[in-house]
Amino acid sequence: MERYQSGDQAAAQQLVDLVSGRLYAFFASHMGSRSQADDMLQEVWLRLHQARHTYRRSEPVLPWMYAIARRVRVDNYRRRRRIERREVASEALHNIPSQAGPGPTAPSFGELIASLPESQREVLIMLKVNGLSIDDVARATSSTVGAVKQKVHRAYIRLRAWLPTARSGQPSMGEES
Amino acid sequence: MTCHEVESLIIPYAQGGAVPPEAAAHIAGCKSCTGLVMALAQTDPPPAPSAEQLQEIKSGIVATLKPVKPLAPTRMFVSALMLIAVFAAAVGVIELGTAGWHALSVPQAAAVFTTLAVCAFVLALSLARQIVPGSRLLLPAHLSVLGFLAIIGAIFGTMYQAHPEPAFMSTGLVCLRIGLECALPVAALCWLVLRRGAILNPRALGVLTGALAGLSGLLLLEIFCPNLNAYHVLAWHLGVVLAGTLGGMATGIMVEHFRE
Repeated sequence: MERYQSGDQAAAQQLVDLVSGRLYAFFASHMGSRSQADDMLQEVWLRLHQARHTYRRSEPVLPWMYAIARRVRVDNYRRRRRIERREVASEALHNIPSQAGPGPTAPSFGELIASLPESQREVLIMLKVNGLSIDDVARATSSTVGAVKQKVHRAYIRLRAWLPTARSGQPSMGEES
Repeated sequence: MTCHEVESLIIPYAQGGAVPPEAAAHIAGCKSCTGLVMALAQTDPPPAPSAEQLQEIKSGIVATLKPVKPLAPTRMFVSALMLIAVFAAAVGVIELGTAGWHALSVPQAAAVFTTLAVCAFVLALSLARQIVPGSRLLLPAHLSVLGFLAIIGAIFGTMYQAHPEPAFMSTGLVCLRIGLECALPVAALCWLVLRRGAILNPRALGVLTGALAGLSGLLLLEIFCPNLNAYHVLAWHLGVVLAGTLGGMATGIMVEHFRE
């Protein structure tokens, strides 16, 4: 990252190779759509590039990157919601990720988190898919460690309640609400 | 151990990481925790970007890559923001005088100005962290501002006497106008300093900037205005901070809409 700030082209290319997969997984886990993840990966690199001077050498790099990636995702989500509100409802239905409807076997991670509120889902994705620590998640989400732990706790309470019904093939919480 | 106590270890355990034996024993014996671990242990192959896309990103970056100067240290931003707030209040004091300062007793002055200094410092520190992505947050922006309003309100409420005032509105509006006239340039100058960083959350930044600007207006009023009626100070002096915060929030929301 320091070499990237100094204008080292090889370092910039290495960094793209190193973290793009993680960023892509972060977007794809949220959106459930590869095309949207493609767009957001492109956008996040644009923003990371523009904001590279704001990285401080003494600080961990992943929370810095995920804070920017999270903002890209939030902006994209709001933009989509605004567009969807204007479009015909039937068109919007096509954009719903094909995660709902757990089968009689154990649900996938996507199905599992689909029933959670956005803030809890985001924290679980950062912890499980991206392998961040709780402190890193707190930094990336502009939150406190205590608040992140509370979100995880609430997410687990929901999942504990939902898992037995999911295994028996009953409708998920997301479908009920 | 309880289910709540092992929660922070559920994901590491599900991914095959080492956890303390007592936590592992709890998970193994608890149906609910085992179910959670099984669900979270499932690993779908992580989606990956295509090689073409990565190449496209690299080309875009390399084409515009130049050395950049890293952002100044946090203490520089804190000092700059505090200086702006104090300088604007000082300019106002030079123009309007120090009648309020002379009307205050020593304990009142000590309590009020110490509180204002601490609040301004914490706000400046929060702002300096807001512009660096991934920084540790002291408190969410709205909570810190609400907390400061409550603390300053409590200080005013206890240090000043309250009594009905015939010209409550007319004198109050004068103070509000003076406070806002001081706060506006402070907000504009702070924005110029802060835009050097990355503004990820315009709303939070607006709230904090507006509150700091309002605090500068409040500082000017405390030095200039000799009216020590608690009602006047709470409504019109503290009102400058509230108005600044709301104005900052509205600006932040507008910036968010513009970005979308």
